[in-house]
Amino acid sequence: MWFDIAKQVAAAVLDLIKAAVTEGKTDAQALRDKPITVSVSFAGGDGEVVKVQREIYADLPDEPAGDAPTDPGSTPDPA
Amino acid sequence: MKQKTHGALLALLLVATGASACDCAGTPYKRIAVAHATINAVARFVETFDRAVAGWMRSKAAECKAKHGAKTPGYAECVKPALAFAETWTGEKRDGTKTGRGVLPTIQSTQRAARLALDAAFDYVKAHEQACGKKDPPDKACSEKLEAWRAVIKPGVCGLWVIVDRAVKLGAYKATADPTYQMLAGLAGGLCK
Repeated sequence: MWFDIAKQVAAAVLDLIKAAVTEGKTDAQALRDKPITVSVSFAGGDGEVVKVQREIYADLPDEPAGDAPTDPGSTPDPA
Repeated sequence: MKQKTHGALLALLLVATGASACDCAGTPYKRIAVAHATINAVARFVETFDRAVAGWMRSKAAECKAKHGAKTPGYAECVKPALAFAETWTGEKRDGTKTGRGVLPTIQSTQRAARLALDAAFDYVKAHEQACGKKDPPDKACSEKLEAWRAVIKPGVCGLWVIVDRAVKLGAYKATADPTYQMLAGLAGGLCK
């Protein structure tokens, strides 16, 4: 009798633990199954800034390569 | 419609950033899903930011052209701040060289790496569900796996945070007009100390 109750309680606790661990598993599995892509993709393009940047470069007076403005506030490569 | 979309996005982002600041939010699988949502939200922010800065650059270039005329030293001087900013963002030089050191390529590479870290976390959790379900105390190895993506994405997010600040100061981006900015602020606040 007591053994049966204990078994039932143990089963309920195990179910609770299992639910607490596996909740959201389906969503996470779906994300895991998706191929890794670059999140910022600009729909396959390079983005807008780089396009405008190139347009502005085209309107600059001719000068030797390497004289483009440098940014004193550039952040160093963190990689 | 736009307002509604923004509202829903903001709600998701606040949940995502709130969860990202807390190591104890939800089941391990939920934490992985929220981390993916956070990475997606950063991506959407980056795209919005890029468009805003491009608009500012176009307007600056038009002003400079009207004032000095194209192909003149005055024009070059006038557009210098905009070009300098763009180089920091894209990492592309005038000769087309891609340095790979721009903030944007850094975000792209760290996002990819963060997704790989989340996939590794998923595989680990799936193989160790019982250990990963422990809460008091949580399983150390499992916690490390679940948190690894944050350290990986950190250089990208913190670089983004710095350049967004510069864009605001330049007038290239209006943070108050973009609800996704709050998300970035929350994420960067937790990562970039």
